[in-house]
Amino acid sequence: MKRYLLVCVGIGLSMLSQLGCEINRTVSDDDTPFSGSTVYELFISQRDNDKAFNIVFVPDASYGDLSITANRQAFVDDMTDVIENGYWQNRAYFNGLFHFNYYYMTASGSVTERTPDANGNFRCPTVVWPTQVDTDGAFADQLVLMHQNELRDCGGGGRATAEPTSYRTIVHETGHGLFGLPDEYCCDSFYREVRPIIYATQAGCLNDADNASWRNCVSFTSSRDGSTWWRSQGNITTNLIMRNTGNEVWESGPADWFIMDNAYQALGSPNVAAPADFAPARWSYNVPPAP
Amino acid sequence: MKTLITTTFLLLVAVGASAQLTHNSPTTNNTNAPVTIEVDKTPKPAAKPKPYQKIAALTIALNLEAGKVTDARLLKNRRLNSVAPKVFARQAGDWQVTLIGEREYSFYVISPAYREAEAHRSSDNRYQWVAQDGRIDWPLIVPLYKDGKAINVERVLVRDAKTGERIFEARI
Repeated sequence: MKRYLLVCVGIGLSMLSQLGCEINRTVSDDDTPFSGSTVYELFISQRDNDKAFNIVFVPDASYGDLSITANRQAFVDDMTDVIENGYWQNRAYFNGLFHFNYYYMTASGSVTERTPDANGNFRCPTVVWPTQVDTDGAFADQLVLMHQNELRDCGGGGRATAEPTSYRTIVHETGHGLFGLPDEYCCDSFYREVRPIIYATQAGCLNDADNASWRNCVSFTSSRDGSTWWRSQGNITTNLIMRNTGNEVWESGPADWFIMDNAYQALGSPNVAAPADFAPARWSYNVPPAP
Repeated sequence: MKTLITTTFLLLVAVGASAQLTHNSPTTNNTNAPVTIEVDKTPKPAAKPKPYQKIAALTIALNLEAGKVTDARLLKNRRLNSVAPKVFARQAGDWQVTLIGEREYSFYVISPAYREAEAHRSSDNRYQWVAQDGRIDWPLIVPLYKDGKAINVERVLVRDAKTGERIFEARI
């Protein structure tokens, strides 16, 4: 009877443990690099790298010597947190999770704050990437250099820097880097026509069949050159990852999804499900088991 | 007593099985039909590059004045056996890169002449694009294969996607 009880409780606890879902990646001295001598796998869901966007996390020196297992584990734990509370808080990423591979680098870089210029204007931090990003990390679609010192980061061109808890910044910059999503905030960006998100003319926005299911054309004016642009997602003014600020990882809108879905299809994946609702509040998700 | 334990056990199994089902679907909470995706339980590393999977890792020196390119020249050109970034999947960008050989292939990149400053959480700063000044070394990865086949690339041309203005051109 006692043995029966123990077996039942044991199996039951094992099943319940599945409910506390999170990525568990335990590093080991036996891990071998995936690329060169410095890039290791973190969470691989797509074995064919030509069908995956490959995201590589790079530590700054504050994480210490990553040849030491404990330091590597601490960095990996921070990065699994970024995946779960950053990328997977946006359903357009979460739904495509089998087309994302995540890696980490053991070589470190640095991000240092700069003082404003003589006119008091903000200057982007000085960033030193480890030289291995151009060789071992050359396959990356997005590189994110993680630092623990608090500062205002800059990103662009598939390379961004961030604190490990700057989830929204990381996902926003990845939207530019992977998919070429345009900014939707007003008014300081370099706007260009990216259909079905941004249009150069009202007529273009009103007559595009691709935006018919969500069309709400609203204009805004660039502060840089006075040019006027039209957003098709005019009814979404909050909670939009390429538009809004704040601490949350906002969602993608239906127009963003149009672009992202095209990119997923370009990877050979016609089956990524569209998010059910766009730009909602924070959501609870279930993490699939590590592949 | 035994019935109670068995019932509890079955309940736990059912809950666990339910959790497994949701784990296997990335479309939880969606109204769209869920996609059936097989999840490997045994860790499998990503595949190493195949012989045709090569890239050219270029470093281009850009001289910038308030975000405007005044000079661009090729500093480094290394060919590596590597999986390529998915540049052809990117749907838009400030600059258009054209690979010229027997055929032409194009993709978009974000201009490195500006950096996007984040909307910082501890201040009222909004997103802001900051013009770069002076010299920057711009890394540009050029795929030397597409759709599973090697492609011949002899020259790389970079143009402004909006104006068509030529920014950089070099034989590689």
